[in-house]
Amino acid sequence: MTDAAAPRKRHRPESPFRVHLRVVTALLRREMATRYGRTSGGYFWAVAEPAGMIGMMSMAFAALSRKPDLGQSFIVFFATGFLSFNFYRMTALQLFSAVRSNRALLNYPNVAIYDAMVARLLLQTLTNCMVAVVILGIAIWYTGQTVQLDVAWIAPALGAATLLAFGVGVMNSVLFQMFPLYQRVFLIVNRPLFIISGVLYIPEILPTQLRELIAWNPLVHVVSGFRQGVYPSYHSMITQLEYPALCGLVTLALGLLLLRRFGERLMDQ
Amino acid sequence: MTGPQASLVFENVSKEFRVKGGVKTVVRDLNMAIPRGRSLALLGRNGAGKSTLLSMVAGALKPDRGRILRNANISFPLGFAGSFHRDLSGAQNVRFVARIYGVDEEMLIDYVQDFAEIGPFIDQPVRVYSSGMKARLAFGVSMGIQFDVYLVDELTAVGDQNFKKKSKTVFESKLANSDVIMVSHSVNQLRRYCDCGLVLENGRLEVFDDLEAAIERHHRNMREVSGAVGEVVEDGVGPARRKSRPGRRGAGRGASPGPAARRGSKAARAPSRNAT
Repeated sequence: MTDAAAPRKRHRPESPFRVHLRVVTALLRREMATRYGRTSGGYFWAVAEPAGMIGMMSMAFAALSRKPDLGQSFIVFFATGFLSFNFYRMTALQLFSAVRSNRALLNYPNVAIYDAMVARLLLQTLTNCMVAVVILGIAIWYTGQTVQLDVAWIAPALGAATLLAFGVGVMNSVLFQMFPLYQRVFLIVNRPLFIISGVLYIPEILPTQLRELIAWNPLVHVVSGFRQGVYPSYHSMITQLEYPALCGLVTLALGLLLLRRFGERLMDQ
Repeated sequence: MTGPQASLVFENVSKEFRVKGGVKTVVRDLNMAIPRGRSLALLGRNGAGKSTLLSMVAGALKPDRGRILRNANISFPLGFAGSFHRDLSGAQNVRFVARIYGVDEEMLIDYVQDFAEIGPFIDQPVRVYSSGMKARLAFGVSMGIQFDVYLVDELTAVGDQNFKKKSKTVFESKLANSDVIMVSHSVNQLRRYCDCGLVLENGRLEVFDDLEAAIERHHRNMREVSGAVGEVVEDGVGPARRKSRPGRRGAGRGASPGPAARRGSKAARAPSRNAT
């Protein structure tokens, strides 16, 4: 046995940040390889799923009315809605299960629960960006819709959505384990969330009272903020991206506290 | 801070589980420093919490209170296969562990492929592996990375006679430079690999500089399955530690609490490890 062949690892005090970085990278690559598992097509589905949804909605609405609330194209209108909405939804969904699917890896002294969450957050955000570029790019090119992309609106809107997803994801990954009933209720309540998030319409067409009510949903601000960065003619009356960002920070702080206090329960089960 | 020699430091570590009809205490207010160069046997009756304690050292479980400082490169439980993803190949799974520990990926894969004797199967998804192959792969990964401290929860032999022999040889050669914290039901195995002992009983961890003293205490505990275990243990703690031979390995290197105990004595719950 050539034992000398074993890679040696001397212990020198390694900065925790470097360990974290290395572990997150390793988790990221592992998630990339396993995310779509045995399904052939792999990352094609990350694009195909939202694309199919947008396509079907566009066809249905094109049959019902002549033109969308903004611009000429239903495809671009729904794409801007669904894609910005997905920056929240997909990331939050990934985080809900981050602990459950990585629990075995916590047996490695180097791997912490936070690493798994950060890895999922990064991977899903990168995927979201890629999917958004591909679908929106194709939609704009295909429909010839005139747009004027404004990063000063797009980046904060998507950033706020991601922060909100991170906060809600971390908080719920603990709460779901503690209260299974809450998980059921939350997921049921969230299913029609895109209807009250202004994905299919702009909040400005609603009567004032309803609009003020719907403005309590932080995702309304994300979607309308993103659309302001795409449609030059659109000036939303209600968009305040500080609100979803603040919601994200509050839930994140709460989630990290819960994780610190009850995180071990997640692992015991 | 404790000196650089301590590979593991427990600071006021408490851990309990809520079980039906009460609370099960694993450890309470544990203060201990484990120095480099000592190999520990972890003894205790079934359900005393040996595996839980080992999981806490590995980081898979967090203490309820207190903290565990790791000043050494501590292994995952030896032969741990739970992390292997079914849809990833053996090589991909090994690569993942190599990345986590920052060791050379290709070298580790070569080593594991050779050690585990799985040949071309290294590129097959783990779900097609036989349980023996999976176990050999896991053991190979543990042997392929040089750790300062190996955690062993029941050293179970895998593979055929030849493989067992090879595993034993390699593992023993590792221990020339590394320490081990071992849970085992086989006293002979503990005698083979360990030089001191910890006995876990009712949330208290007794430290014995001498393995035989620890085994002796463990056997005594086992005989007193029923009755007032606590009282008997109480008066046994001090003398047992005093009985150990401090001169044998040099005063500073003993597994006895040393600096940790001094720190503990400042606290209100002074002789916490002795009190129930």
